[in-house]
Amino acid sequence: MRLRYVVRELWHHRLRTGLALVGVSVATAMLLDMLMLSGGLETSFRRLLSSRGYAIRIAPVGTIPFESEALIPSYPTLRDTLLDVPGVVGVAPLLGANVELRAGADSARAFALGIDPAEQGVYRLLAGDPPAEGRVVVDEGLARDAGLAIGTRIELELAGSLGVARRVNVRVAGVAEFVYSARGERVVALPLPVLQRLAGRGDRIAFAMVRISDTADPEAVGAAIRARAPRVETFTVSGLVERARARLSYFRQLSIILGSVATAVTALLVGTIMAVSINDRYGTIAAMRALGISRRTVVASFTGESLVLSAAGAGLGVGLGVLTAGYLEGVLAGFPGLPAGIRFFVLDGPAVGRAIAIVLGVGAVAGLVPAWRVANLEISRTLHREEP
Amino acid sequence: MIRIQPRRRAAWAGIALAILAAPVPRALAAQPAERVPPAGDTPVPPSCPDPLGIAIERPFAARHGIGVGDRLDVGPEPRGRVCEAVVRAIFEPRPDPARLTLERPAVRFSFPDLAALAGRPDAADWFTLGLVPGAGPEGTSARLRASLPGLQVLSTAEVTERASATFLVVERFHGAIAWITLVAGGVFLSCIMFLKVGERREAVSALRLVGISGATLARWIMLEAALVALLGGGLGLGLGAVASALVNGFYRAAYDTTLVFSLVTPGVLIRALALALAMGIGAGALATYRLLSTDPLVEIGR
Amino acid sequence: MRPDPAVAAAVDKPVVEARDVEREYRVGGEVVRALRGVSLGVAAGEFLAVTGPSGSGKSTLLHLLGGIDVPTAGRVWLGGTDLARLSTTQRDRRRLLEVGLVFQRFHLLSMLSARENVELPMAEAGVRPADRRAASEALLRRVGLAERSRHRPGELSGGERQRVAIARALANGPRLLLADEPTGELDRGTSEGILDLFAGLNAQGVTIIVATHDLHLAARARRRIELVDGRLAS
Repeated sequence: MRLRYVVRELWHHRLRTGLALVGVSVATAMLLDMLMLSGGLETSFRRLLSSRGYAIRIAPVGTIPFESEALIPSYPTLRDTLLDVPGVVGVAPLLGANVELRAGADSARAFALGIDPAEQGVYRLLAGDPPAEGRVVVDEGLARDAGLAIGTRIELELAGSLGVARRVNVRVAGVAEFVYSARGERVVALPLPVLQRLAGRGDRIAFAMVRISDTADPEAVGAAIRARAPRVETFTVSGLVERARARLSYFRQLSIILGSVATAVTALLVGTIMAVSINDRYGTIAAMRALGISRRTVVASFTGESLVLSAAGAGLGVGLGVLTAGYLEGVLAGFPGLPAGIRFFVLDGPAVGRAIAIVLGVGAVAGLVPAWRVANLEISRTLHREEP
Repeated sequence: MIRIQPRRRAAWAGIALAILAAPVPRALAAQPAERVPPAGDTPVPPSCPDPLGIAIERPFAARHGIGVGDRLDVGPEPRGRVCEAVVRAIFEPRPDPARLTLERPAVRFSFPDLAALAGRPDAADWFTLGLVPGAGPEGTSARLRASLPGLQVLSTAEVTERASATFLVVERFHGAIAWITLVAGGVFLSCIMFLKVGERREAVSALRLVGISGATLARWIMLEAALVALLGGGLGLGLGAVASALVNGFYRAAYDTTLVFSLVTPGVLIRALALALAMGIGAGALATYRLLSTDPLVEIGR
Repeated sequence: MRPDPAVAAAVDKPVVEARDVEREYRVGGEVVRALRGVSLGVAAGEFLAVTGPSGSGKSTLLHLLGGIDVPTAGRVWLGGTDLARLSTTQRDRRRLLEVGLVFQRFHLLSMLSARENVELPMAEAGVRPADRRAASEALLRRVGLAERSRHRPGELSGGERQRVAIARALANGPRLLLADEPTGELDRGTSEGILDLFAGLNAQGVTIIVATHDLHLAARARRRIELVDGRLAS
């Protein structure tokens, strides 16, 4: 009966209730977005790193992959060393270089990745075959924009080679989605030895990804690799995510601040709505208390009213939050060089649950305070004041 | 100014990969582990200039207790051959937001010393041209591009634009958040105005019945709304200035930098106050319209 | 403090009794003495009118008799129970079950129908929904509003609203009905209807105490007392 009365009371003051719902839903949306943002990048980063099944990354000691021209020498020796480490089941090398891609009269700048087609973790083949001698795989965007089809002849020329032209003629063997590439980046994958020859890199690679067995411990394997190959640095997925946590503190701090603001707005809004609603009915509430309606009933009624308001606003707010997160995701996707697979806002059950729980909790407390005050009003004095 | 550099892939400046910066031990890696020359260069073995003097950025020197006159080991790779260098100077690094999250220090050498240390006596990553007065950077860049195939020729403006790409995204993000916050605030304000104005409906209705015109009442209410908006906006500006100072203080201390993270300009102040006024008056106008559109007899009869 | 034998002897089986009650309020820095040494006993089945000018303490006396307020001095017994010995929650419960209240401004809940307003005290008392519905319909019939049970207060006239309020006051079968200026907001004709209703309820055995400055209403009561400046004048 009480819930019905609460809903009717809210419906009876539709404008006030509607405005409050809009306010609570906007605040909930912001709160949800901030909860998603606080852990979204980290979650997305972990998922991306784990997506291809490679638990360890290897780079030249003291470097960041592709930030400098640092390379790891003697890859065949390194590969044998890595495969000897207990727990290691696969090694995927990578070498990168800027190239000019020419197909007929058209040319485009692209980034060439030298890989081992039998053991690679940078692309998912969408059509055609893996790279081989004289055959390359291009990303779907490049294929679309340059009009490349499987079988198309293209020429790759190493960019930045002053005075010495290094070229290779190849055919497009396949089209793929490159999981670590940035939006709009044009990528072509070819066998590692081909790129090493093209770029004059001998037997060097930029970095490698290591696949380990299901039962192996990544930290232990990483330590074993460092012990056997001291010229390389190892990074586990957890280690990378841990380092990311420190670097992504800005987003966490921002989400805490804005999330707190959203929570405060919800509390203020619901508290004010309830206070005004109660003020409107002071005389009636005093009369109800005079009739014998208990303080508990009064508190429960008004707290129920604030809870219903908060719950309805939270429900709407979740939907709105998903929409605004999509918009903000679009803004942040413009970060240069950011892998297309990275997301800043990750919607998951815990984030939604936390947002709703916070709004409900805050709404309940915000309603409880004025409700408790009015439940303990001096009945006689209030009646004297309200009655003429 | 014009910058000329080899065509190379832009650094993966994305935040996700900036996290991979490794801490640099005391034996500084002046160059990456194995510096491989572009195709066509003839490498020579690295050599140790004698004497070798370097300058180190202040934050790194402070963290590791390095002072002028200290001797450090430097080399092309941490576990390889090293040369002894003397710290000749400690400099304040240029405030560069792109370097905020990097743990690697900025170290300055004389050009020939670093070239010798890296085994690259005749190579440079980029060089900068100063132009004679009157020479336009755009035209000069175009001529240089035509005569230097395989190299990128960028004006300072173009370099700035590329380097700022990340922070433009951050700026847009902050703007988006600001607008969402404004919408939330606007709704909140409208709600409160409706409630507060509505609390006076009986009194307002009585005044209308007595003969005070709706226009007069609207002016009174709008004036009140404007005053409250002005006062609240002023308070908000003060709060914002304090918050800005706190943000700068916190992040400067956290990152040991002289960068300005939050800047309150006269334009920002004016825009903020104007928005506050607009929102307050707008909310007041909506509430007033609602209040005055009801029949006063009905309100009194309640 | 035990009931004064003299007062008890003056009435037969008092439903409510007050002895030397005083009530003071602090308003700003001033102390206002609303009641000064009032003693009173009301027997079952009585129809008592408490009259007096505005500010004489009529409403205050009603509040003390109903257990809505506690005296600064003196005692009030309701059904033989000293109200001062009860906690707030216990007094609330006694009021719910034993006292019915009618106000000048009706104080009906605007979003509930007439029947739902009448059911409110029954719901608080724990009466089952089916029983509540039947009882509230019967009460509305009793006050002459059987056909208006589904209407909301906004759809009722002043007199009809007051009848709903009276039905609500009778919801839990109280031993005492207290009415504070029940005709204050009504016109003469409607007031007469309310007075007839009170007379009819009293004839059915409901004990009624009405506080009013309306002498016409007071004349319909069987007994009348007058308060002046917080004291009993007669």
